[in-house]
Amino acid sequence: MRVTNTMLINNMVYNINQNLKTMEKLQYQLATGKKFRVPSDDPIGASKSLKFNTDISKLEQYKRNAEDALSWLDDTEAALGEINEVLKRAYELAVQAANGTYEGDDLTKIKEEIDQLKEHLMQIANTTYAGRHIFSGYKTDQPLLIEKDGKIVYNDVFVGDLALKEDEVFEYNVGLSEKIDVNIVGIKVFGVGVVGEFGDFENNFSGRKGDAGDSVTLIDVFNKFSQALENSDADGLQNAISNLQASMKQISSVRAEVGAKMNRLQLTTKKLDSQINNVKELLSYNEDVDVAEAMMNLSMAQNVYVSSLMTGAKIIQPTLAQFLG
Amino acid sequence: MDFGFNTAVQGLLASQKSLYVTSHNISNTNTKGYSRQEALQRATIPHLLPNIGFLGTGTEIYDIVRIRDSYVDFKYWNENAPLGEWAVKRDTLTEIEKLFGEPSNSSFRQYLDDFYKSLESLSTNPSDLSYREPVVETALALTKHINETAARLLELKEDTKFAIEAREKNINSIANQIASLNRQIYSMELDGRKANDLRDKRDLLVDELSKIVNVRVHESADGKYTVSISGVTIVDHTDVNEVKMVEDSEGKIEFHWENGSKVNLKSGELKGLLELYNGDGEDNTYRGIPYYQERLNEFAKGFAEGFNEQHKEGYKLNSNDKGEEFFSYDIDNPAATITVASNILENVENIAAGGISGNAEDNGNLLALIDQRNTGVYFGFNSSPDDYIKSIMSNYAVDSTQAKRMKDSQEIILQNIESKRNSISGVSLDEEMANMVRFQNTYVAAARMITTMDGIIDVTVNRLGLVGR
Repeated sequence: MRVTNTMLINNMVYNINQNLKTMEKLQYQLATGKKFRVPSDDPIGASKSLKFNTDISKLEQYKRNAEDALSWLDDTEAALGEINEVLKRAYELAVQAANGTYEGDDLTKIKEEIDQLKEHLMQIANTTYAGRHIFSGYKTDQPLLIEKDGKIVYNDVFVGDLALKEDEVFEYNVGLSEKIDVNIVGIKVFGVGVVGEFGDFENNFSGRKGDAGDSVTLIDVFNKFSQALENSDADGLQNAISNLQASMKQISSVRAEVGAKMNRLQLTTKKLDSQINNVKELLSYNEDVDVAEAMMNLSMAQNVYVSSLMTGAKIIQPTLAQFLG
Repeated sequence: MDFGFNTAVQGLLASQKSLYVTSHNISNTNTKGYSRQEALQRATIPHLLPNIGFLGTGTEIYDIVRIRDSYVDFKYWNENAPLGEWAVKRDTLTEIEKLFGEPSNSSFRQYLDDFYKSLESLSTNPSDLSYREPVVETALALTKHINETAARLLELKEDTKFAIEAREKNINSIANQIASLNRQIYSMELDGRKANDLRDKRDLLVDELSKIVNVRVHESADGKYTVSISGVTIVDHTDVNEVKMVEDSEGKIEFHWENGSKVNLKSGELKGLLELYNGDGEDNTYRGIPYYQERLNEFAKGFAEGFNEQHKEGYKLNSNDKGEEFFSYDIDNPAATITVASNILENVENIAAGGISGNAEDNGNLLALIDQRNTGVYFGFNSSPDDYIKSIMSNYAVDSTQAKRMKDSQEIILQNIESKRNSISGVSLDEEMANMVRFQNTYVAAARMITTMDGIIDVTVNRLGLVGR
């Protein structure tokens, strides 16, 4: 084949350009640490990256949700623990009062303490977490119990449609199609109606609605206890003991539920952590450059580029014209 | 006696002409489209000396030709058109890729993630107004990104139209230049010699034209030159059949001949640009800018519709009223107009978070809205918005990869043809230098011949016949 000067120059320029392109690509990869800059560099990799990034964003949000739920449940658990303490103290007092050695003044003192404990119970019922009443179902902007005409009853606003319902349980997303119930509706803890109104004690705590002005079972237990003390009613005191036992049983079943949820959430948080790590690893594997390899490739490309420049300079320069006298 | 003298003079003149041609070649080494020329030399008609034989009478330059292979030209023009087509497609698709912004922090993925993140955060604090504001902000960021992408696609379409208009002018101007060269060449070649440099110029124009449209050329035996596009002549010797850009009622662009029939394009920049401008992906047409506009509109409309649908099932905060629209858009132009509905902008309490009531902590509908992202329920495109965005991305990524590959391989093909062309027609300085020395030596030798002849005549005229003095 006949080789002409234009050919030489064109080929040299083309090849040098190709080498520069390779260098530029490697340089970009090293500068950004990413394998591709536009989806067409790697359509499949890019669409994988898209999914991984979304997954990470979702998982991180699930983790935040789980943490939120956990601190809500922490507060719920603390409140339930306190209720348990109150019931325990009341039970001690009831046993003391019922053994018949106390009378008159002693009983009045016990009654005073019981009344105090009752007030405390109401305060616990209206516990807030970040300004929200934890036992009020969906209506966290309202306290659960109020004092009306000297009696502690369910909040006035729970009227008609707004009555506090058992199913006012809100869920948080803590995984893809994995939700967790967060709140405990007050009815489950405090009960609706006076003791024995719906037959067995437990019946006050499920299948009920908290309407405006409804009596509160736990409060009623204390009311009845207080009354028995006032009247030195031995039967009433025995009843109070069994009522308090039943109340404690109810509270510990709720506490068990909360505890189980907290366990589950802790496990979920751990699981989410490891999932986030996994996806991040996949993402990195998918789109991050192997720096060592890229560096090697770059120095190889550099060598090729330099030698193409050198040969270019050698080939282009001389023609016969240089050597003719 | 004159005989030998003349022969020497002819040698002198021939060498001189060859040297001129060499000089012309060297001067045009870097001229685009130039093909090297060669002076054709032959011995003149011999003289019959009776009983002796034929006596040579010297030499002559009988033609100056350009060295060119028309088959290589034909191949060049054939391959140049696809290169032009894929180059414009590649450029525009790269633009589209860039304006969709994947993968980066200003992409659909990012804005969708942010929006849904804010919904998730709100779902754990539905009663807190300070968690409602971010939902509106991230929704606005998402809709603005859609608006901007739509605007940039429109701009890209306008740019493409501008490029098409430029090609229209280009085609017609090249056609007219070829026609006027045809006239010049035809009249100059009446005696049968080829007008080499003008022909180079004409071929160069065809080179240019072949990048824009697919062309065929034909030269008839009597030297009439025609250029045609898919069988229809655009230049017929000295006549030009101009092309005209026509926009139809649907806003699609076509090219018409002077007689109104459609210009059939097989490849070339113009075909690429038209496909990008017109291609809506329907009926196996190319996926051009309208296709992506359509997909984006479908996304905006489907997303807004679906989200609104679910949003309307929930309850506003502290109210028994069901939610209203969350996104608003103009049905004729969803992507460019989608935004957050005014009722939401006016009061964030109108975000319908509640599933069964407007009570403070009811997050039922928020959870449903978040679930919607996975299930795709209600969305006009019947899939999750992420999948839809991903499918758009796959489309342009794959098309762009294809365009890039086609362009690169076409470039290599053309590079080879051009090398071939340069190998045949390019000027080699070494060769010209060698020729220069050769012709110069011949010239010197012929001159020496004349001196010799001069010596012979001198002897004959001045030194002979002294006897008679």
